[in-house]
Amino acid sequence: MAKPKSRFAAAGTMLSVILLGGLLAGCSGGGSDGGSAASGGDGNGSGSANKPLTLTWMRYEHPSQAVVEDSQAVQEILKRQNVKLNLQSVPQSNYDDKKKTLIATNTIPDVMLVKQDDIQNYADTGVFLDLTPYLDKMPNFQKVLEEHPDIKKNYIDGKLYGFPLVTKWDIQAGQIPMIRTDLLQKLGIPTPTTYEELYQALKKMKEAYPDSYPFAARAANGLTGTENLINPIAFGFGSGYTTFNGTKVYYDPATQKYEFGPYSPQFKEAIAWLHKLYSEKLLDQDYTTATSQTWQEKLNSGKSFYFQDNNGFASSFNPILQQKDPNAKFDMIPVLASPSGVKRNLVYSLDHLSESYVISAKVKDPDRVIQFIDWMYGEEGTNLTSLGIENQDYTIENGEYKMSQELMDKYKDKPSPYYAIESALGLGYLGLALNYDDHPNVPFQGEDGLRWSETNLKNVDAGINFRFTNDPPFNKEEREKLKQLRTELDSFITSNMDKFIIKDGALESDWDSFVQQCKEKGADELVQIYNDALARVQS
Amino acid sequence: MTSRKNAFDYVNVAIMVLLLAITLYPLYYMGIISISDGGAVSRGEVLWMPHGVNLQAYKYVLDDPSVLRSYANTILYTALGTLVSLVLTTLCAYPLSRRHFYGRAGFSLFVIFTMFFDGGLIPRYMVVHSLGMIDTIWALVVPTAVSVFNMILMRTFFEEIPEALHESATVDGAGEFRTLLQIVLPLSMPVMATMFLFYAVGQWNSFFPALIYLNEKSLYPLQIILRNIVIQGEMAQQTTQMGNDFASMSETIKYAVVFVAILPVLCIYPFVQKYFVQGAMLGSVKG
Amino acid sequence: MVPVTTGAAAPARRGGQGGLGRKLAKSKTLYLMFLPPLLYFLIFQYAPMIGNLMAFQDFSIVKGFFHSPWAGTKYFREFLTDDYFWQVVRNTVLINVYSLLFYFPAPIVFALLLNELRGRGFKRVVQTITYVPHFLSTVVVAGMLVNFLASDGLINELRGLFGAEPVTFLALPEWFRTIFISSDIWQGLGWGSIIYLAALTGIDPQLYEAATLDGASRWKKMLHITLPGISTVIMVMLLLSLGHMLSVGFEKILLLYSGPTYETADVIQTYVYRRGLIDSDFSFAAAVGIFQSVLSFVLVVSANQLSRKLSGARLF
Repeated sequence: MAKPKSRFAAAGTMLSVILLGGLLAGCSGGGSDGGSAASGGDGNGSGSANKPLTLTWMRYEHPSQAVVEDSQAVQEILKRQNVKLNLQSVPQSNYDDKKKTLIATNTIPDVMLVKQDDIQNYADTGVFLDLTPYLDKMPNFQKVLEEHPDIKKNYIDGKLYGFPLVTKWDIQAGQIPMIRTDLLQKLGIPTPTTYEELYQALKKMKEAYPDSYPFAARAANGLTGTENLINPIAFGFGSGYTTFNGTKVYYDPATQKYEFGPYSPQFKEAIAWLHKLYSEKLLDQDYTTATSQTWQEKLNSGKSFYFQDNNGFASSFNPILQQKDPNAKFDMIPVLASPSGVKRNLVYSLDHLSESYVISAKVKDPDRVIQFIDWMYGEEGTNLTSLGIENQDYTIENGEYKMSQELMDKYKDKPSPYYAIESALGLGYLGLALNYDDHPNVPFQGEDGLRWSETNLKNVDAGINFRFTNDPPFNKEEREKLKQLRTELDSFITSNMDKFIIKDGALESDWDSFVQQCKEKGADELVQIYNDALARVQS
Repeated sequence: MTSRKNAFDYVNVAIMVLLLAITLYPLYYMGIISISDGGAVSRGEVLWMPHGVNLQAYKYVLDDPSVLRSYANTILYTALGTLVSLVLTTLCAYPLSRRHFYGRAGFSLFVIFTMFFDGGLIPRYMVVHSLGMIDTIWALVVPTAVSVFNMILMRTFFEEIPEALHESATVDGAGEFRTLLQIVLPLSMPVMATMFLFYAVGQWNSFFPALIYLNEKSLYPLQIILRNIVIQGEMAQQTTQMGNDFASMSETIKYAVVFVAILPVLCIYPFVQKYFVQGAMLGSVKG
Repeated sequence: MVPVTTGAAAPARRGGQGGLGRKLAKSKTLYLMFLPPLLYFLIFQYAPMIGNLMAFQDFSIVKGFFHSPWAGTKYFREFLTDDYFWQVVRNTVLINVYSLLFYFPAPIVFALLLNELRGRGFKRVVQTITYVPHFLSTVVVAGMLVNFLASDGLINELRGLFGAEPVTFLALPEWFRTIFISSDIWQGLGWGSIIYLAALTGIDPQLYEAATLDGASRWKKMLHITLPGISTVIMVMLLLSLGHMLSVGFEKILLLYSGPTYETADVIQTYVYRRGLIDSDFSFAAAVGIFQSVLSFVLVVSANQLSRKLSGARLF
């Protein structure tokens, strides 16, 4: 009886030991392979004259543009600057989780792309290197600071912790009125010049095409469908709704302060206008849950004829529409006047100042790293990471950029030649650039795309188009207060705003009490915090 | 069951057919979109039949070298993960199923407590990090090895095995290990097959541990790569380019990705089905 | 198969002086077996639980767990006194209650029906196809739902054939739960039935034969043999489901909800998520997490005790 028992007991013990042993062996084995690449300073950052400076460099990967570990830019950087970049890319959809884990456990890579929020939240933990003492050794970055004064908003208590992504040149897009001009012609409708005329035009379109919902909107860029719909309209009427990150205040260039949209009569007018469109079925009835996908489908298929959102999309709608109807065309119309005579549009900021590269406080040889980053902001670094190699990938003729024919031919069969090029060469905002020049986009824009961009830029100078601005920095108490205020206020506003657009009669009966409740829930405080923070930056 | 077919059978079949239709249509819908022309899909023309059939979307997905590499990775992770999980779960469930296991209730509580109270992402990361498992296959296989839910189910099935069988085994001189291996497991094939399925599929679909514990792109499993592609249709850039087929291809690519991801798993089930045979416990008890 | 020796019971042991020692010795091998899983739980589950201290602290990373200044019950006070928080708790619980009523029984009924199917080939086909939806990611399913439920989507078109006006389903709070749970059922029906099918194989066919001889109808067989035969598994699954009463798969809700449906769709997880977007707040999320865990635990323990008395099935 004892023998068979002990034999199996022994086997059992062995099994457990093997399991545990395998575990431990696997652990230590894994540990020694190449190490935990995320921890900064693992034999990195030490650059003598001949040994390359190795940096672990982490950013998110946008699905359209793959991050290639040995792209041309990476190879050139090694050659020209003796810096070896170990690229770590994480899918953008989950980058936040990864980023926060690394920051919270103090195992961030040498260089990591983060949002301004992350810097605000974690600057005082000492995980990021304080860049301020190094700034006067950075001639190129100094120039950038002068040309992009909004970077001041990234300073926390007078210190800078991240190198922001700036743009040297880009296509200017915005939430501009775009309409099917071919249908205007076909139906004999004059080009609308006011929101009232737009309403009339959409109405006529609906009469001609009863199954359509002429005005389409979508959720995008982190904003809900409702926010993305109301923002340009409210702004166009002289008020506004949210900041670029969804906080329910907006910066009004007219008063140069932050304001709370619903307090102003013009905001109510804008909602009334939207309600009119919704109830007459001129506005997409599902706008609250519309995604980019469904929005594009409507505009591509002739279900909708008007949008006031990223005008650049028309470049992709037109060819698709023209496959079926060669005359179909979305085109830009001039800014619409509101009932009170206001004429203004919201356009996107060209810079991406809310995204910065931080440097780990644990990095070895920070001076060398700083020097390299400065080079990236300079002309050579900018060109390498934006355009490629001169005379191979592009030429500058008479001050004009021209992409080389070989490069275009090499990638012309890809679904997106532009992104294939950016990916292979390591270029751009979605690639390695800190100072980004988007001229490679030009050959793929088409005449209309370029014309719209120029018009938009002209209108910025003319005081018609206004760009989204970044938030000012907040101190600790303000952030605490913001957390509490926004949690309650945001939910309240979000769950009620659509009611005024969708439900008949809601605007007349409930608006005033809605505004009153917003006040009680702290709308005034919210605005005050933003304005105080703004004032600090400007002083 | 040898009774004749009656009305109930017909109703049953009708219900099943209805279920099949409701289940199949969305799958069919995704399938035809994945092989249709992007432009047509963007215009919402594809509803019942494909338009402009082409395999561009599949080509795009499979041409990506990281897709194929992550496919191989996932097969490895799934195999190893399922093995580790099955062993650990069995070693946990079996003792808890034995009535004479001293401290059984306490240990059960000890285990079940973890279903409700979780330490959280950051602390667990630190544990994994301090064990040196970051960027290794073990981080994907060990921290999530035992699902308490699965363990409880396994234990429930183990408890159904009559005590008489255990006793006779003991009388024959078998210890716990031998009883487990020679008596309990063979009688538990249905639940073991089910657990195999649950763990294998769980591992195949998992992406969060890989996201958090891996930094090396070459180690990424399929889901990380695929999720990014699937979500790309929802992500709007601020500028778009003419001739950019992406805008129109995103739906087709999204669904091509879905099929690429689930194909192997669909093939497992038929193999596992044979264990769901009634009467596995036949003959052992009565008499 | 081990030959069965009838009537031979294991020799009875008297209690007495070696009582405890005996019991321990009897379990000796079992302790050995249990050791690896025990280690697993200690290292990967209990060690991180120290992290729950975060909920009571203002968490500061570099200072580490034990040095961060304690914030007492600040976060608990904050959300427990927030009216809106209780609304999302209500929504969470309601969705789960409806889930229990409709989503829980569905795979059971399905398994029973499948079991009654005659053609083996057809049965296999049905099984294989119905379990595919489980593999679709939430993003894909939500995307399809948005598509099909649009004013001009498939569902409304079908309704249009009968002359009904289009309904904006996803903007109506009263529809949200139905949509949510129906899609859960669609996804989980096939897969969820697997465990019940496994349980069905454990029922002795001789019982059915005896019943047939007694002239029992199929319905009676199901009621008196099949259902009791899988009742333990059903009870255990029910108890396990109760453990989830305070959480809901939030990814799908996030993708389907919007302002107008907040009043029924906003749940604890989405509330915490939005808070996390405003400001990374580990401590807040951890505090809410504890709230959920404690309530769920109490619920399951009570249900467990009840189940033990009534049916003998229990978790612990």
